[in-house]
Amino acid sequence: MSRDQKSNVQRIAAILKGFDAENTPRRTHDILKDLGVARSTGFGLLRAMVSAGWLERFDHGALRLGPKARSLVFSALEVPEHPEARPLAATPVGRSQAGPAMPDLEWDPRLVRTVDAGKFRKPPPYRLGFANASTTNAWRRAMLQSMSYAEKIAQAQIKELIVRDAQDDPALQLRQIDDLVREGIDLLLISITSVNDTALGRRLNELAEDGLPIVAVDRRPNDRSSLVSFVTASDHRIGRISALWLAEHLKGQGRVWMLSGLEGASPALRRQQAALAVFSEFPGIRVENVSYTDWTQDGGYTVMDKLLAEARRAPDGVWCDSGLQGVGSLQRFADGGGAIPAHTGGDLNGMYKLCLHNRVPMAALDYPASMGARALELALDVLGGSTVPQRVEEPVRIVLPRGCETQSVRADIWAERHVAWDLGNETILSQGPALRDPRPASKRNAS
Amino acid sequence: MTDTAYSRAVTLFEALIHAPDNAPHDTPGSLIQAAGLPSSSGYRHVAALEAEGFLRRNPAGTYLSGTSAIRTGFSGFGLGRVAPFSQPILLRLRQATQHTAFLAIVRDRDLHMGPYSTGRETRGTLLQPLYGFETIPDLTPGIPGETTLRSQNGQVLRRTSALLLPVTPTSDATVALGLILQPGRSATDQMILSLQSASAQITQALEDA
Repeated sequence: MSRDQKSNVQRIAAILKGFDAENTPRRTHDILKDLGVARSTGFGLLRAMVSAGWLERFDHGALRLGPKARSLVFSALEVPEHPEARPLAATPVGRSQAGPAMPDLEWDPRLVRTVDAGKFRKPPPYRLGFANASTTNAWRRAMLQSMSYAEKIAQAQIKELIVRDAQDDPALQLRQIDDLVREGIDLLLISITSVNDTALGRRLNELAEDGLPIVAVDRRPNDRSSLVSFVTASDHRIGRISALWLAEHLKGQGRVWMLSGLEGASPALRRQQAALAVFSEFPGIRVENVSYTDWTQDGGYTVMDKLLAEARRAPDGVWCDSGLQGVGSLQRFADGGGAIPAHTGGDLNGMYKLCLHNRVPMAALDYPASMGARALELALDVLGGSTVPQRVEEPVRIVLPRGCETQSVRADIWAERHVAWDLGNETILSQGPALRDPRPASKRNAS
Repeated sequence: MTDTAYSRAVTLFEALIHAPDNAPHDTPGSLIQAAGLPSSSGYRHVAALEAEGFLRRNPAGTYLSGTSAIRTGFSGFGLGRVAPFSQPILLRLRQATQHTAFLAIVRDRDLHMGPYSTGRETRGTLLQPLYGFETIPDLTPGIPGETTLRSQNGQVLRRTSALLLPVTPTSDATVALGLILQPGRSATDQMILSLQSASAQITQALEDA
C-alpha cells in the first residue's frame, strides 16, 4: 500500500527529478526510499521506466537517466510558428546597411549565476508569505493573480500562501513582514515598497541571517544580499529599447516628455536611467521634463494636462515607462483633439486599443505580470533544495504596430495581433494563463 | 497493481510531455485530447506535470516544455549544470541576431539538438532532435565555424546550415552553442561576435559554479 496520495505520473516526475546534474547512478533502494512508496509499486514503476527507456541500468542494481530522458533536452523555448498560424510577416530591417554593429546582448552576469538552495530543503507542504508592495494598479493585481494561478497548480505542495498588501507604505510592510514570520512561514516572497528604505533592508538581512529564504519579485531592496533570488524582467531593456525606438522614430530630432511610474520604485528608476542614457546619445533629442505618475491612468492624465497647460505646444514624443500611465496621457490628448504624438509603454490592453484606434505610432515592451507565477515556482524550487538562478528574467517582447519598425528596433509581435479587442481596457496581457483562469485559489489568505 | 498499469502510467506521462511538440495547445483540454487521454483523469495529470515543472505555459497560455524537463534532458547527458543558463542565453542571442539560437550536445558524431529560441529570419527551418554532420566538424572550444547538419525524417534527408561554437567539452560530449543560418547565406560578423559573447558568458558561469 502506498504511503502517499500521489499518482504514478507524479511519481515518474519525482523519480526523474531525483537524479543529479551529472546523472550519477542511484541505487534502487535510495530511489524507493525518496519516493516513499511500497516496494511493489516502486519496483513496478522502475521496471516500466527502464523498459520504456526513461531509465537505464548501470551496475549492481543502480539506475541512471536513459535515452528518453535525454530526449527532453530538445525543446522550444517559445511556441513554434504553426503552419496554419498567420505569420508575423514583418519586413526585416537590415542593420547590415549600416555595417556590422557590435552585438547588443545586454548581458547581466547574474542571469547565469546560480545559488545552491540545498540548505533550505524541507519536505512539503509549505507555508509561504508574500509581502506585496501594493495592489494599486492593474499590473500589480495581474501579477498577484498570476501568483494565485501558480499556487493553485502547485496546491499539493503548498499548505498556505499568506498575502499581505502594504499599500506602498514601507512602515506597514515592515510590520506585515514581522507578522508573516510570526505565522511561521517557510519562505518569504517580497515585492518591496521602497528600494531605499533602510529599516526594511536591515530587517530582511536579519531574517536571511536567521535562515529564512527570501525571494524578491518585481521590486527588490537596494542591498540584494538578503535574497536567494530575484524574479524580474529587464527594466533596463524596457527603458533602453523604448527610448531608442522613440529617438529613431523622430529621426533623432524633437522634444520629448518623459512620464515615469512611481518615484522610489526600482523598476521606474532603472527604466528612466536607461532611457535618459539613450536620449543623451541623440544630440537633436531634447528631454524637456521628467514627471512621475504613480503608474496610474489618473496620474498620467493629470500630469499631461498640467504639462500641456504650461507648455506652448505639444511634444513630438511622449516616453512612458508603462501603459499604466501612458493610457492617461493618450486619453488627455484624445480629449483635447488634434494630433497625438508618438507614445511608448505597453502592459495595459487599453493602451494598445487607444493607440491602434487613433493610429498613434507606438512601441511597447510589456513588463510580464507572469513573473508572479514564476516567483512562486522558484520559491518551491528553493524549498525543494534545487540549484536556482540568482536572477530570473521573464522574457520581454517588443510590440509594434505594423509600419512602426525603426532601423534598430524590430517587432517580436505586431500590436495588431497582441491587442485583445474582446477583453477589457484594464486587462494586462502579459499575465500568462491566469488571464484565462482568474479564479482565486481556495487556500489563499489575502488581506 | 499490475505491470500493465505502470506501463500505462509511463505511456501517459510520455504522451503528455510530448504533446506540445507537435502543435500549440492553449487549454488543458486541447493538450489532453492531443495526448489521447480521458478528460476524467487528464486534467489532474496536466496540473501535476505543470506543478512538477515538466510542463509550463507561456504568457499566451500555450503549453511548452517546463524547466524540469529541460534540466532532466541535460542531466541525462551529465550536463545538468548547463540547464539554468539555457533560457536567458538563448533568448538574448536570438533577440540580438533574430536567427534561431540553440544549445546542442555533440556526442559520437551526433548532434543532439537542445533547447532553442526561434528567430524570425530562420523560423521556416524546422529543427529536428537529432542531426549528423556532413563533414567531421572542428570542435575546438571557443572557435566558431559554419557547418552543415543532416537530418533524416523518413525518406527525406534535410540539410541545415548552422554556425556552431563548441563551448565546453566533457569526457564524452561537447556542449555547443549555435545559430541556424538562412539557406545559402553565411554568418555575419555580428552573428559571430554575438555567439562568442554568449559562449563567454556560459564559460564564465560554469567556472563560477
